[in-house]
Amino acid sequence: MDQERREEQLIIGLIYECRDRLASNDSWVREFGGGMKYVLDVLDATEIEPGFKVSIERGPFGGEFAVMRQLIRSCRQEASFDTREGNALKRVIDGAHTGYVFSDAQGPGIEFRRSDTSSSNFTIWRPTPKSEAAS
Amino acid sequence: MDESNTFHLVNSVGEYRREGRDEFAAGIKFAMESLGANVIEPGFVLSFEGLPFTSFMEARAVIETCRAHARGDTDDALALRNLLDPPNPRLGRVTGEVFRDAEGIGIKFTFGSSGNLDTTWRPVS
Repeated sequence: MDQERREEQLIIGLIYECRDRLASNDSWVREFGGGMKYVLDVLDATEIEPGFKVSIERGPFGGEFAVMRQLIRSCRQEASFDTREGNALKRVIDGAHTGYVFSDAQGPGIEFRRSDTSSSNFTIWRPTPKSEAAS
Repeated sequence: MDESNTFHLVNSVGEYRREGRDEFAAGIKFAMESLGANVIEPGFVLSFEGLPFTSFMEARAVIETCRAHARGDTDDALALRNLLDPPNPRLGRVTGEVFRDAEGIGIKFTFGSSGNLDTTWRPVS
């Protein structure tokens, strides 16, 4: 296992452990998890590409940063298409937004949040299913 | 890893402890230790308890001084060299922890996994 891969695994392990503690019913354990999250945030350890972060609170995020990077590449590729949706997505990516990569019951996605407004202002992007893309 | 970030985080542990947020500080310490962010040179770990440091450079300078002392041919150098590179396998691995207290800066060497054998080195003034 190369150094980069080892570091990724280390970060992934910490993210999972941090998330477990943040979700605990015990306020002391949550406080401990808050300290862990503080380190991950300061070190930008959850940033997998410039402007794109994996969400500690949500998940699982696929277990591998490589999967998330592929998702981001798909998003960027889609944004480069000269379509209404592609142009809209491009504006979101190029704007002052931060992307949080997450995964939920509907599958993986990227949540864009404007850095200059409240957290209620966000846009969700999900990859186009292959079957729909082909039709 | 960015030194200023690491230094800030090491200091944060002390700051949150002073605020009474011991669990939060413990979480920071745990994450930093997991990431190896408090290792400033192989075998030398920054002490969270012995803060504050002026800079990582200062801590590194102390380690360099310590190593320079170990290169000499005196009894003290031999003893120090034994600490840095123990010839006795019973002692196991030696780790160095850089700290600062009322007497100034120093390195605390801890032997083996139990950590119950330790000695302190300070720069000769």
